[in-house]
Amino acid sequence: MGISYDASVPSPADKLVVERLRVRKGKNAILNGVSLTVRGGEILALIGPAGSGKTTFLRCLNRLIDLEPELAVEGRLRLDGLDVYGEGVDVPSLRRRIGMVFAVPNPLPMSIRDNLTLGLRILGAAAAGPPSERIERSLKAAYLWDEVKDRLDDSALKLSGGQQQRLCLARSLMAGPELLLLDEPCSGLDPISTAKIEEALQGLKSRISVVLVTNNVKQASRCSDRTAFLLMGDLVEMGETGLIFTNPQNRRTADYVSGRFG
Amino acid sequence: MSRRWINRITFLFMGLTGLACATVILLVALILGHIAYHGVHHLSWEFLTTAPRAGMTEGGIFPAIFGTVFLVLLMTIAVVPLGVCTAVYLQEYAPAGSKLVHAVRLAIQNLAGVPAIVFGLFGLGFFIEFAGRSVDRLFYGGQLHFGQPAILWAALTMALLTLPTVVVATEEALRVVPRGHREAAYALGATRWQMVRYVLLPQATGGILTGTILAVSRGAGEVAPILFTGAAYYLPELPRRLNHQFMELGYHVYVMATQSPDVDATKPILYATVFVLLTLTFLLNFSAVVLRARIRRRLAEGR
Ligand SMILES: Nc1ncnc2c1ncn2[C@@H]1O[C@H](COP(=O)(O)OP(=O)(O)OP(=O)(O)O)[C@@H](O)[C@H]1O
Ligand SMILES: [Mg+2]
Repeated sequence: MGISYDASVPSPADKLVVERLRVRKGKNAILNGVSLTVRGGEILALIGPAGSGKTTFLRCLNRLIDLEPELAVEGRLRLDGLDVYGEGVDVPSLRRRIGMVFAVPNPLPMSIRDNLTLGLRILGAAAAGPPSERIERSLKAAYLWDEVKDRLDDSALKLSGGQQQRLCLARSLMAGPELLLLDEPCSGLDPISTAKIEEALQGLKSRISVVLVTNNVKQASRCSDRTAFLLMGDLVEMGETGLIFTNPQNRRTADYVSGRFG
Repeated sequence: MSRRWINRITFLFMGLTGLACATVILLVALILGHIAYHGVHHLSWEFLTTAPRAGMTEGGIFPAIFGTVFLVLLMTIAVVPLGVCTAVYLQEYAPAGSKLVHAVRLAIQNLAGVPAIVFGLFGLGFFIEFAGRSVDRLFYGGQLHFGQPAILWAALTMALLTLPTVVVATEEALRVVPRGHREAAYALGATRWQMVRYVLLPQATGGILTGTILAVSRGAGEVAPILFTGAAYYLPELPRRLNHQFMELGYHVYVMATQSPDVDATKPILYATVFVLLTLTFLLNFSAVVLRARIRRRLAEGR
């Protein structure tokens, strides 16, 4: 019963086209056919109450959901025309095009530098180029450079939670992704770290498309271009963020964004 | 119950548990003390570096020390890769809840419960009679080279015995790596092997090393598995090839205790040998404990 936003004719500006995405565990549907597009260079906020399927949706986009073989995924996803679930898709190289930041900061127990260069090391040293430039660029983009530039060889675990999350953001930017997925990246952070991440996203968005899952409706209204409201696995409404918050078409959207439930 | 009774019972239990602990410590101290008392004065540089003489009533135990080290070295080379690969497969590759995984886990658990002497017999039957003979037939035209007791077969038999230790320790180390670490690597485009290589194995090194040292200390102490597969009563020369026989500390103790022509003359040697063997295994166990603590600390600091 999800409202379908016409996704059949992809325009050149569309970065990612999702058509009738369904995720099931046995007979239980987690996503009931979600269709939406992510435009090039926009920030799309995904809001909805706990358990509505936001994380599941996000994990479908870079096929991290493959790690949970008990979940059946149906539907079509196209990233710049590439059929994400098509036969013969090279999943690792797909994932290199898509950055992801998780709800809980997950730096690895190694130095800040090693965390950042992990993706390059995976690619093989030959493809890496001079890493120090990239490190600086990514850390600056994540608003972390000034805090860590003198201690790149310190353990990443010594950073504060907010710094760790920005390190994870910088790490996901190292390979120069086209699409960035963020799953409640500020859920455990203080207002200052939150502001820094939001600023970082503003700086990124002209070059990268961002899907920002957030449980903070204010954050969606502050920093997204468009907003999608997900409820119990259905896409209830999607539109320009300004309209969703001032003039929602659906009563449940109105209730949710005004804080009457969820 | 009155307060007084509760206090009395508490006191009683404290006494009993304390007594149990004291007994354990006392027993260990007794064994060690007894051996040290009788063995230490016979220790000398000469004892550690020369071969037995005069029907083992004189001389040292160097060939046995050499053989023990050679044996556990070969065993380690065999058991660590096999054990680590098994654990990685079970934890990361095998589909969750598959029958195969269940069967392999069961097999490993059972392997850990098999008496050591059965491993010895298995080694004799499988490695020497089957594998060794086959090698001889294929490469040496039936001449006897590998179809006889040898340090190679003894080491492989010992590797089977210690396999569960390495597998269980590695699996444990892999299991505690948080899911978020795995997902971080996958999201960066790592293949499964790259994830294992760059994320899991570095974090599991401590567990693998601990398992290895425990396996080595076990392998250095067991006699039954090498009884029929390669250990020799007395050899004039050190083993230089994989198909040579060897002397070994535990077996040397067994031989001196049961087959000595002159019991009184061998006694101090026997005690000193046991002392060396115990020191070796204790040192290994102790270093496993220290290593584990250090690597835990290092991981917590993320260096
Ligand atoms: N592997 C799984 N097996 C079974 N059920 C699952 C699995 N993954 C997710 N679900 C279910 O799917 C629903 C949606 O979960 P999801 O994590 O996507 O929600 P969410 O919108 O991200 O919630 P939150 O705001 O709490 O993070 C939940 O009811 C959850 O229990
Ligand atoms: Mg979630």
